[in-house]
Amino acid sequence: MSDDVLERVQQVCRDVFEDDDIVLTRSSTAKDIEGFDSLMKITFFVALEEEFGLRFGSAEIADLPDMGAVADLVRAKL
Amino acid sequence: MSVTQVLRDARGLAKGGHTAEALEQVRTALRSTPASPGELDRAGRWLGRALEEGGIAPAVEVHLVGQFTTSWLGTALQAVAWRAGVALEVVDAEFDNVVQHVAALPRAEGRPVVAVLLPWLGRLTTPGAPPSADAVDGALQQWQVAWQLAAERNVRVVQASYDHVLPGPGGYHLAGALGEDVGTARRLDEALRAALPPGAAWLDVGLVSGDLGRRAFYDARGDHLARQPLTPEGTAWLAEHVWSVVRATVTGPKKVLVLDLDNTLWGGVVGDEGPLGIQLGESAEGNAFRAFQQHCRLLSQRGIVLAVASKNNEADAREPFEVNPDMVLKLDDFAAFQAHWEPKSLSLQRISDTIRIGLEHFVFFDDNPAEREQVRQALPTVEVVEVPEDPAAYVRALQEGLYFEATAITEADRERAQQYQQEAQRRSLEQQAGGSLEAYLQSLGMQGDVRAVDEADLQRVHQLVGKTNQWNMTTRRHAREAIVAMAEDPRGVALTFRLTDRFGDYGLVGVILAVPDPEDPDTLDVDTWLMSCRVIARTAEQFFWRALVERARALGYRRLRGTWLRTKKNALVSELYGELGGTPVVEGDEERVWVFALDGYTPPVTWVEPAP
Repeated sequence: MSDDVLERVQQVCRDVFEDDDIVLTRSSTAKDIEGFDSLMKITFFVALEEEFGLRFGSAEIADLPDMGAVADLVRAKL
Repeated sequence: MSVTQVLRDARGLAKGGHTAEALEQVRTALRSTPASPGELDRAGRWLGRALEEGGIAPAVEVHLVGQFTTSWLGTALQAVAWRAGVALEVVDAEFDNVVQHVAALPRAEGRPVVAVLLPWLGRLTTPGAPPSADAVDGALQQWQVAWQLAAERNVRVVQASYDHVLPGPGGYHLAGALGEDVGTARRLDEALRAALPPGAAWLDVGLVSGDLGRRAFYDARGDHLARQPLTPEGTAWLAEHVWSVVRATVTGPKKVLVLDLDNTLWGGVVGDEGPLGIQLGESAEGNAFRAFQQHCRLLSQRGIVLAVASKNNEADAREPFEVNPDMVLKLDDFAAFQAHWEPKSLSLQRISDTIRIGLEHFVFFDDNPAEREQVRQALPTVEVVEVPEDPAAYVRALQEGLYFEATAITEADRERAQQYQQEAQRRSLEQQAGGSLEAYLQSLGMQGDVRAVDEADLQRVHQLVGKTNQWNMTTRRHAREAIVAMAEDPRGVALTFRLTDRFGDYGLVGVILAVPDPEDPDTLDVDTWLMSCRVIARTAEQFFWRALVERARALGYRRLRGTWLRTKKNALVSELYGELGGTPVVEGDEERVWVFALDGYTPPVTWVEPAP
């Protein structure tokens, strides 16, 4: 994985979902992650905001199809 | 190491079956490293499971019963409680399900159960629009029903206040008006607070949000997304406050504040710069140290016991208190004073032994990170304040720790600090005197004041005659008129005794009523002699006796006669007249009498000096 943003997203994911075996690719989705419910989705995005020092708008996190889109959104805000 | 890194390690440890060790490491990390809101959240979520896996029974059960989503408040609460060494069971009630949740609670037996009730103004009205009178009444009624249900279930209540997020359509300057959010929240809070039952604690959310700033505390995005109207920072800060109130409700606040000296109470090192060379007042830095001293002094007046733990030569450490006029705190503000070169943890242990308060009630404030770490490691139950570099931030750092949050302050709290100070100082003198009772008594600086009984003292004298049991020679319960008659007899001697020492004023603590012997005009008979037990074993009675001997001589008496009459309680003084040098003339079981020939009699030594 050469995408260093995706790599940091993966680390956040491991910390939030307490699973060090999580491996993310651009096509990984919420379904691939155990415990990714609506509350944990918010926890995850808030953790990303803290990690990257940015803030998502209300609409931005509504429809992100996969982790590739998450990484792209983060990158666009850095 | 960051909390995040420690949590990663802890996951691995727990996986390998070392959950207890993992829990300990997480606690240590939370104590020594400031955690971000995200780290607190993750620590709390992990703890919720790990505590159970580790077989640690929660000491307190906390139900978060809110009109907004409290999931994240719960995880943060779990983490801050564990930081203090307390395992909580946090139950996150279903959103806006207040009465039903409390009604479904079983009766609390054994460990304390606390319901934290968290209102949300937005549930009452569209933000900015005035709520109907019915809605307001309904809201008030709902909380009161919840209190009632909690009381019936032996569940303690922490009632959080309403708060506004924004001033609303009235704008900042009209927002307090009737019907605006600010005014509505205030009126509701007033009504709630007035109705709050005894024992329930009040959590003023407006103070908490205002301290962080509502802009940083509230988050409309989270409200719309998941009924979570608090930012991560706001959530963490509210969790700290919820914990402080829960702790106050369950175990009470911390009791003792242990302070370092150099660069904590003043700027610079007194051993180098001298008691007048230290920074105190007159500069920005000096003013900051003075302000911190002022805050500590006010805490002491509120009932927090102060103590010193300093690495210094004792004489150097004491000198600023004695000679520097800019010092706000004085030596007698402290219940214990440890200044030497041994480890601070040892100082804290000794302070705990001296004042007889457990270390779990201690807060330690020291500018030196190495000392803080030493205490953290050696004494895991002591709260160690993360002291900022700039002394201007000291007061805030101490206050933000929420160590001394109480739900009520009693008169006894205020007096407690003073009593501990006096007791501890006496004991410390006893120790310094190295076991020599004489040196100890001398160091007390006792001063006695003997006066003839007068009108002003009559009531107190009568009271003591009526109630003193142990140190009482004859236990004759004279009527007030009889005391007056003895006091007015020109051949009689009626005396009061007052005592002070370096640490305090004991007031009127002794009475002698002596009358001429009707059969022998040369003998003065001690009808009554009593002392308060607070002043025994300090040669106070010898001082008082000496005064009586002088007055008897001045009146021309040649003999004194003392009587002891047995009661169930006064064995303490059965031999006293013998010890004072009297000759026994009656040696019964129930009654003993001694005579003192005043010619050539020398009363025993006393360490009490006459008051000037």
